[in-house]
Amino acid sequence: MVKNQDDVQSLSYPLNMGDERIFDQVFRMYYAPLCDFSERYLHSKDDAEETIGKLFVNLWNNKEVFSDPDQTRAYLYRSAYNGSLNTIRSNKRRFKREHAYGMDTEFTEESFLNNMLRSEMIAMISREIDRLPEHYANVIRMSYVEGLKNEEIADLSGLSVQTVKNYKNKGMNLLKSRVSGRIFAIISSFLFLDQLKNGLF
Amino acid sequence: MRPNHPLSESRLFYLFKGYIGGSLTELETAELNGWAELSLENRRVLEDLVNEGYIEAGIKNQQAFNIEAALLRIKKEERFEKGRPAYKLLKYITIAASLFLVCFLGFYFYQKKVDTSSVSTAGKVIHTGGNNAILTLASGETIALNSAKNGRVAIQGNAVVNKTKEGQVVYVPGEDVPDAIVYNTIATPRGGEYELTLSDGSRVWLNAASSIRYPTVFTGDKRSVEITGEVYLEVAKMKNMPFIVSSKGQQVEVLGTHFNINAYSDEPLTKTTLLEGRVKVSVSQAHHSVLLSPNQQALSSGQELKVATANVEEVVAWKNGYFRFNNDDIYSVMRKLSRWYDFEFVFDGSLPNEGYNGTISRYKNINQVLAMLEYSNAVHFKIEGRRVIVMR
Repeated sequence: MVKNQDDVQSLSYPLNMGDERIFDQVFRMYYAPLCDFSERYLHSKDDAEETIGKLFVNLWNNKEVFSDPDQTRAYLYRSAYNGSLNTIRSNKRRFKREHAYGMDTEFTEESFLNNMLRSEMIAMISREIDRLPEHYANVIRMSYVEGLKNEEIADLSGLSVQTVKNYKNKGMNLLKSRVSGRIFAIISSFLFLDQLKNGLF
Repeated sequence: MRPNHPLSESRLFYLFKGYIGGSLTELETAELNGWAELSLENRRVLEDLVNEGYIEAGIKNQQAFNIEAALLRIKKEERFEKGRPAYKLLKYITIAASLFLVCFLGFYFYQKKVDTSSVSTAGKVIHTGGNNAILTLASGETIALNSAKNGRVAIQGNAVVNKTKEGQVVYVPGEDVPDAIVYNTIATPRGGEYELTLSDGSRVWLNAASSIRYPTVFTGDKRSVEITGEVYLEVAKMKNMPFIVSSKGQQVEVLGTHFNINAYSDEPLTKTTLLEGRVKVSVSQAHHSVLLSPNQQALSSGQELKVATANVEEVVAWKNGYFRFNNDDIYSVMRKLSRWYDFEFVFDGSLPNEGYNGTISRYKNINQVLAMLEYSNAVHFKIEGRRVIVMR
């Protein structure tokens, strides 16, 4: 289990979305997973980002207040779901064409809950990487997310190959102490695979 | 409404987190599997989330969004309102006026409704909790203990399940050792509490929204049970057969003692408090355990395990029929109350960081309890149906 029981524990409740500092925190925490969720319905990154951008503008303008993590998550995903549905309705002609290619995802309660679980569980793992100290997180992102080799990371970041290796190891050790064995095994399998492939480990 | 999702959203999230993290108890795993059996789509979600390729693609997709750029972009949008005092004031006046209208109309129709039918408001009122639980037999059959007749309720693996006239359940073991171990579960809803006696004579008190799963007769060299929520146990002494209680990520091993476990999934820590004897508390995530002495409390969360001195009276207040707050923050107070009175709560604005003190019977109605908290003058409440609004 992720050590911080609550993924959003760093926030203190109730959350007032009219407070810019809190608004920014919630935005950074939820923007990507909500876009990912919306994309599951809209099949377009741009449409998803536009839909979720609108959602956050509304949260700010209405000074929404959230009382606890469950309510926050439920409200955000429900709004993202409704927002995605609206995006499709207001762009009927364009989405009709995609419908013809069989790309539509059904808007059902079941798809809502299951897609929310998918996006949010992945976010839970992804946030652990974001929580690492910046320089470790950057190296791990470049290696894990962008699939770069140690030399490439060294070139791009102006670090020595040895420092890149050190950061990666230290970052992974930190990650290990923060997430459970199972999640860690999933994440590290890519890194080690990567390193084996590159013959650098 | 949602036949495929009988579990609440927050429960499902809790189960999924534990599933991915590998920290679910046997009972919880069964609960999640039960959900997965409901549809092909449910099963698929469960499989995807331990599939390395799926997770890798998912993380890459989420990390690809440029969050900072998006934040700057939306703040530049015309629709993103900047603080404009005059405009805001106007907005508030409009809101106040419409709220007044809504309240007035609401009151008007409410009055009308009461005149014509006083029954229609039932179910929208906050009730005081009471004796209430569901017994699940080995066959999966469920019995509402409230409405079950006194006397023999069932026979389960050689044990007779009796309901006493005091409204408790008692397991009486038969003469012979049963062929197979059979498990039963008793669970209380929000607003319920229940007391039972296991076949070894150990007594169990369940607080609201809690459960215990146990074999109807204990055999072998251990007595193992699983709990969720909050449970007080008086374990009968059996020298060669330790009693083991598993809950959210931890295990408590005892020989014969009195202790309380608070393991609600919405509380940040699992608290195990000892009143008598000795218990050993260990967390499943780490090879780490502590031995508690009376008046000590183990606080566990994930791999963490700490020992503190406990205010025992406060911990077992619920079992003795009252709420006792001792410098508790308002969030913890509201969580406790909402489990017993079964209401939802929302916070209106931010509240002062005040500690609340006080003792009040659990059998008072919700208004009396909230009135007590209002004495502090730091907080006020408004009840709307089954919702309590907490404000300054």
